[in-house]
Amino acid sequence: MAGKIIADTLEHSTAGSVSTQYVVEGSAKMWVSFSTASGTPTAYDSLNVSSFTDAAAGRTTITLANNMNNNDWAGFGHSSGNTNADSPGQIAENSAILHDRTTSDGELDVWSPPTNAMADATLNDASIHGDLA
Amino acid sequence: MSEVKVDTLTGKTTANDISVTVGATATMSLKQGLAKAWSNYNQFTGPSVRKSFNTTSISDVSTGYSQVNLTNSMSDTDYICIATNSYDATPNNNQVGLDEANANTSSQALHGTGNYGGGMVDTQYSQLVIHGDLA
Repeated sequence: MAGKIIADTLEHSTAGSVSTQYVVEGSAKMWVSFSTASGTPTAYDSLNVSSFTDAAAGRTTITLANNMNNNDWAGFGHSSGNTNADSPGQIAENSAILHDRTTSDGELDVWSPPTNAMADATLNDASIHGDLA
Repeated sequence: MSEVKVDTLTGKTTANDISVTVGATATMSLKQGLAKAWSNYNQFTGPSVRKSFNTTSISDVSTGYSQVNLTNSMSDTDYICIATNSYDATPNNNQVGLDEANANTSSQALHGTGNYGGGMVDTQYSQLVIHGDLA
């Protein structure tokens, strides 16, 4: 049987202490890195993601494996036009926002100012902070 | 109030697998939820680091581009980087630039900042956070 510790504070011998509420509330509840370049969202790596839905060009619904307890979570989005980071000069002028939030999903929308349109991209990152149900 | 004094938490069954109760009953992996690196730095004057975690140094690649060098490497290049910045050198200006943050290698991430005119620009408040798996 696995052990279990119930505690309000963790204290290191030299590095200080932290309330366990910061561990619980400070941990990301979802993060994902994925591509929409092919038109179908494909994850590179993720935590707490059960599936993607391609809503439209530049719009991807991210469905959670374990739900949040309300819609008030904080969502962060980021998009680059490509994964080529070997040299500077590859910046893609995308703007991303994670919205249309429910307890079980959110939509990452990626906007390309140069083309004035929603855009699929090779590298999209998103994360959620808040409380799980 | 209960308190645990400890330098290291290690899973009993698997060393790096510790579950934390984060909802009414829901649990999640402690190691997966924690940010593995973050930094707040000034591209304009260096780059110079104000505060960071798991960041050994930040290199100036070229105007608008900084390379964040990790102390402990990630397990692969599939980690996520999310970055923000203030657009120019004026504190509290609150203008937002365009960020590119890529997993360059398992030990380096590239943070690029552009303006809406299409040029690259150094910014005073540059921030980056990384989630994923450490090596």
